[in-house]
Amino acid sequence: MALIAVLAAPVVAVVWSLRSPDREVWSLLARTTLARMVVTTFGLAAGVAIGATALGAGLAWLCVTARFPGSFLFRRLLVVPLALPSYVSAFVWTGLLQYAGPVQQTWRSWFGDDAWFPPVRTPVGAGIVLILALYPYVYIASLSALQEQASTFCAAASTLGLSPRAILWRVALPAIRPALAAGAGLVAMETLTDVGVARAFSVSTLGDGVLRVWFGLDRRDAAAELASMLVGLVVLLVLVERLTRGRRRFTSPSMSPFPAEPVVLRGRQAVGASALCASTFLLAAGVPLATLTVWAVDANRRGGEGALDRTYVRLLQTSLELAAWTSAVCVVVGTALVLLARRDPWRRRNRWTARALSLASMGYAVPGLVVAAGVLTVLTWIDGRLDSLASWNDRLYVPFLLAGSTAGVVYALVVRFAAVARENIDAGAHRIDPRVEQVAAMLGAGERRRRWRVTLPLLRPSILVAGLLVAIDALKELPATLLLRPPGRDTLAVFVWNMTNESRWDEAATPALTIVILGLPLVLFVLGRATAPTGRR
Amino acid sequence: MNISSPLDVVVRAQNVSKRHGSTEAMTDMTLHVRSGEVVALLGPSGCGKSTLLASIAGLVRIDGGTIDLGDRPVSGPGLHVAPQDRRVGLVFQDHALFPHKTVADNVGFGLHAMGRTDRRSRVAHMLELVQLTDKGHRYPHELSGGESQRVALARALAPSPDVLLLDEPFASLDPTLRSEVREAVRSLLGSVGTAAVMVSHDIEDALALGDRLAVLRSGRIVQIDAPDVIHRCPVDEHVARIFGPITALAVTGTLSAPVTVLGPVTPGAVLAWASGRVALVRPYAVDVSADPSSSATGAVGTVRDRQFVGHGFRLVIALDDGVEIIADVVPDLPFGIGARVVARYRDTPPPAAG
Repeated sequence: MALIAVLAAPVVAVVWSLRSPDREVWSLLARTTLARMVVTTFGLAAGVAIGATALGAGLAWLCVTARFPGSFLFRRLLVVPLALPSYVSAFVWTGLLQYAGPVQQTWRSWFGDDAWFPPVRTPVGAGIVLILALYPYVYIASLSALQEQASTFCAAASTLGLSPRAILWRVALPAIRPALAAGAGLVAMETLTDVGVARAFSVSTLGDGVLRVWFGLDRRDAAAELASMLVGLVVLLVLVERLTRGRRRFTSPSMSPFPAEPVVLRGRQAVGASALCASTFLLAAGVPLATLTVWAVDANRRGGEGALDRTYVRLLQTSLELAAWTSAVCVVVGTALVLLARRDPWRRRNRWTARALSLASMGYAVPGLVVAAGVLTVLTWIDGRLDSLASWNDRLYVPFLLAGSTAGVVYALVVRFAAVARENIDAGAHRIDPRVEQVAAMLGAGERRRRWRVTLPLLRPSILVAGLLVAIDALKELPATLLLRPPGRDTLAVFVWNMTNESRWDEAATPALTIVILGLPLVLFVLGRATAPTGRR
Repeated sequence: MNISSPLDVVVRAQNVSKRHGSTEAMTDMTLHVRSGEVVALLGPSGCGKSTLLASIAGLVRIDGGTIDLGDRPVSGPGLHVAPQDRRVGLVFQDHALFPHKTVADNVGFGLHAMGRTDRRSRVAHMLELVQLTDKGHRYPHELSGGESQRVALARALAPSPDVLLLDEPFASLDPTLRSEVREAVRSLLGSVGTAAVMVSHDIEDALALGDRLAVLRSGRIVQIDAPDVIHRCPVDEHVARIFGPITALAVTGTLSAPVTVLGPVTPGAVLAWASGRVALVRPYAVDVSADPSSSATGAVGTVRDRQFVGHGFRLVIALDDGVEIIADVVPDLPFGIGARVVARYRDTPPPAAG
């Protein structure tokens, strides 16, 4: 219970802060940019969600049901953009396409100095980059859904004489709807809370607003309140999805023994399919990675900031340390939560446990910005208590003991990612035959012995995977780390952010590339799961 | 098995009931298991037999009644002794071996209170009993179905439980292995003398192991007795049917002199069950002969279907007055399909079929 309270406190704190709003900042915002920020944020989220869903689902449909040159390879390559944080591809594209960048220079050398070039730093530009960065969420979800469920329905439908087009619209799409909804929801959520792309493209969103109020106006309470508006939007999103889903169930009871035979595309269709996959991969991963590599080589040849020097080592060390701590704490917390939920069936069950557990998982559904704001509120409050406790003695002076510490960052990251660990460990726990634990009980093993000798050893693989996934997530995380890092404890992501804010693209390249490379295990893991021949998880 | 004294009861489940939501999983079940005997709980899925087993194990909390193990109350109003404190062994259908432990570690898991050397010798002894001495270092996934069955058994018996519970112990084995393992379990239980409760939906499994059968239906124990007694005197039509196919014939005539299409029901006729309105006839209780003309008693009919069942042929005979009966004949009476035959009651029980 205490554990859950600690995990849920920051989110509750942010929502609570709405009760006493900072009128000054709010009225300032209301007079100036608030309305436009809300409209932009909403529009961007809707556009990106639609675009990423169409792209992701379309590519998945193509890769599952059709064979064309390179389809085997593309099916796997299309997951790779998952390793690129959106703020990285954002600065690569703005760097490439800016007025002084290589693309526009070439353009002008061809068409003259006055040649028209589409404006880059617009909401549309940001939207396209976000679509390219976030479509893998939908792609992966639809890939597994299409493989596991839709193939059965499609096989049945084709024996009933439906045309491929009719199967797509009337059978396949409805069948993978929950996967699409989940993917689109994730995309919308990421867009709502994005700060990196918005900043790179100079788009004024709510997330960007939180940062500006936090750093620009230095009004952290107000920033937290603004962030809580995001929570409202996220809750709305979840509710809409729940309501539209209704009572329908979408899972088919078993895998089809007759997987649908893929269609072999020929001629123009085959070229078109290959071109679509190739261009998506190139725009989303190929070009950014190549550019980063070129820039990184440049920066290293030139020396100075952003090269593989002592600063880089310190950044890497800080990043890895934070990731390791976060991962360790998340794994412990996640395992504890899973074991807590896995009570013996012969025990009387507390009906509140399940509800409390879902509360603890809330963090992942809440933007990093909000978590950061909440963590700061909680820690400042504790610091205040500590300070007043210590005030009897003048020599003890402890302002911001926690609020400005590494522990604070780890706390925020744990709140954010504990759910990732819990979900993965929980999936592992569901694969354990409960009878194995019952047998252990019958052999005289008490609860403690059962946990240590049976459940935990069997959970070990899932725990390791969970730890790895959390570490990668923590490594890439930007907003919470940015807001809470103690002075002098910059991470790779924060360094990338600082450099790109000053348009020093090539100096950001080496750390950015490092983040991408360290994130590759995630791609491999997802690939292994999404393309596994059997549907068992 | 030898029953030392009728008072020597190791499991005493008294008026046990359990609800799952609105459905009654067990209603007022009473089961006493005496020292050294094997009781087989027999019934279709959903009859409550596994729930009863789990209740004795302590894996399920009962809503009413009491369960005593020996003279220890373990379940009852406001009382629930945890499974680990019950000294009860359990073998699951799919064996539930610890996948991360070797065979020897699996068998030794319940012996944690023992010293290292004692434990090792006990494990060795158990492996010897189930004839797996050379497989102690193997992991469960390296074992065959019959071997893991024996490991599960050795593991459950290693701590010398007061009673052993077996949940569909042979259901996961293929038919050829099944009878072999059944024999092994039978002799093992006989040699250790542990009382056991077995759950099964298969009459052959139940007959092979059970000293007594408890027939369950929709959450109630319908009849509990020695198998031959149940076979001879089933309490109702459903219980009569658990021993295999059966023909139901309408009864005419008076109560004192009942008559069916096969003739008068004489006291010597082997009936599975009879009421005033219906007589149940087992296949071997029907005598089939070839010559329709010589029939003084019995009914004439045509063989409609024929199936070889090992000890003979099972015939489906369509009697001329529209009734179909099932009859078993020895292999040297090979009536073909379409043959005209006479069916009547056998006067004496046939030699044991086998």
